[in-house]
Amino acid sequence: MSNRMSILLVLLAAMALVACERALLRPNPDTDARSILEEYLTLVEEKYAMLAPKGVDMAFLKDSLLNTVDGELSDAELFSRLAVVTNRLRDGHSSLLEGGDNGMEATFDLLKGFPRGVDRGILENNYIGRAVNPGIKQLDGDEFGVRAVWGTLPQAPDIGYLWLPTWAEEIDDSDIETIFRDLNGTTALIVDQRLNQGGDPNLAVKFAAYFIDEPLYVGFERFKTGPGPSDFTNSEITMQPANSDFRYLKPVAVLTDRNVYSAGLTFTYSLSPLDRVTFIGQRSGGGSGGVGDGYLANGWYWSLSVTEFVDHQGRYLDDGLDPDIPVALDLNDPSRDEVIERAILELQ
Amino acid sequence: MWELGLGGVGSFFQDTKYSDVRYGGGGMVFLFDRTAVAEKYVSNYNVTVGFGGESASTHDADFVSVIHTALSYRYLRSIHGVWRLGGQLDALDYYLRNSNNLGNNGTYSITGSQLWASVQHDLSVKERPLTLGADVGVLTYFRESTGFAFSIPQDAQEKGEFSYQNESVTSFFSFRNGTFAPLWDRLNFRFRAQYELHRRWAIGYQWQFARFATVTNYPTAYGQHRLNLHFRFVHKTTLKPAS
Repeated sequence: MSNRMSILLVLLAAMALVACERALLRPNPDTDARSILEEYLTLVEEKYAMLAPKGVDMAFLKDSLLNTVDGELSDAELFSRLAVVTNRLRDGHSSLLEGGDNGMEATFDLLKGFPRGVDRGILENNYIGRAVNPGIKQLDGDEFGVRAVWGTLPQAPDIGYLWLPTWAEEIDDSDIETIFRDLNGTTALIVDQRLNQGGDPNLAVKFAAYFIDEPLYVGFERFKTGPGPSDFTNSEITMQPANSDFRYLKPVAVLTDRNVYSAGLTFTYSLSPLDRVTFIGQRSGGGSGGVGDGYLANGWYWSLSVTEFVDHQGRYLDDGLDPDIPVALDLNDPSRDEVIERAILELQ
Repeated sequence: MWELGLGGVGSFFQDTKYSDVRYGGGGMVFLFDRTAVAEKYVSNYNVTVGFGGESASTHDADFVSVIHTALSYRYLRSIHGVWRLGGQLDALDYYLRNSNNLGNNGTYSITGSQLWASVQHDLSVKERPLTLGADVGVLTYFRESTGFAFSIPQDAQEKGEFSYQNESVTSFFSFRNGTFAPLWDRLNFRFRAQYELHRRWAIGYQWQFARFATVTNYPTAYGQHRLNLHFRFVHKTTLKPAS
């Protein structure tokens, strides 16, 4: 075969292969109103992990919503139809954002209907501010000004206090070790998680692991691993203790409010099997599912809970966890935080 | 012979687990080659480092940065003069995507090793060597960082290995929870051409395509077209007059 013929044949073969590229990719989806609505309904039906426990009837939603789309809709009209699905999930991890000039968004307001469970002014003016508690220590942070506050309280010098307002900012392993070393001499500990709306669950579990000295079964994570309604697999979660000399094995009160969400709940459910841990305050916000996210074909952002955590007692926790001792905050009395005071009473 | 290459890349990506929207874009690639040519064989060590960006084809809400690196070795035996047959091992093939605005699914990676069957045809055009080659991936071990819905490998989810204390399921550099895929489970094609412009300079083109599905009926496909210029570190030789 001549060189010229060889080159021609190989180039033809190469062109055929490159043409396969288009054939092996799926075509781009349509972006008309009906297609976008169908895409979102399919995503929720296939990926959302809590349709059954929340009693969401996707067949009904599909029938009723698709019947309302006849021809083109404005963005606002289309968004309002998709938002019906988002709102039906009642899940702070599941949201829909337009991301454009109109600022349209649909998400669950987990604080709605709940009174405030913490007042930062009361907390700082009476318990952890330098003026009233010069020995308190803290790690500086961005969102709250602090990532962690720890020490003892003037009202109970033997009881330790640790405020963790967020899991969204990094805390080094050495800092965690320092915190628990400093708290080692106390007789009991208040872990104040109020305002903690989550962040990194790995960090939450790192802290939780300091409260055990042997493996602890906490429940299982259900993963949506396929499109069918029963396509779930479970990962049984047994928490391993922290490798530290300063593990905290004395009585603990964990303070919660409605803000305690997502990784905040991860910390909460990791400790809930322990008898020596008492939860005090307000029902937590929930957010037990792991989040998946992406874009619809028109560029609207979606997020969904694509896993669900079921605790050691078989409870679904996405709507939050009730405290052992419910306590309401009296905002008319700026000198007391009733939740902290109740924790001190419980631990003394 | 050492070679240094620099080129441009046109890349594409589609992960139907999340959307059928195709992504496409461009970038740059750097290549480092060490090639030994003998009468019976050709062997080549290669390091490729590429990076670029891609955007969605149906909207402008997302921009994804892409990094693709590979460390590979190819060995080809002469079988019939201008034809060579052999194989290639991509010992470490690392493909990373990072979306600007996504949360948990913002980072996506494929880590793996691949074994290719290779064929090469050596030609001459205007008295300069032209090399045409094709590779087919016969066996791949790879780990896709994202499963059907959650951002850990599907294998870890299906085997129930998830725990926040199990860092191997979330680390992008872990090789655990990967999948062995023969040719029929993971399509891997590559076509390459290189033409010597000058003793020190060559121009090359490569097309690469991969398609697989860690979740049945939800394939992921990605690939690139690459055009690059090679500089060869060739020793100067002086002809000695016959004595």
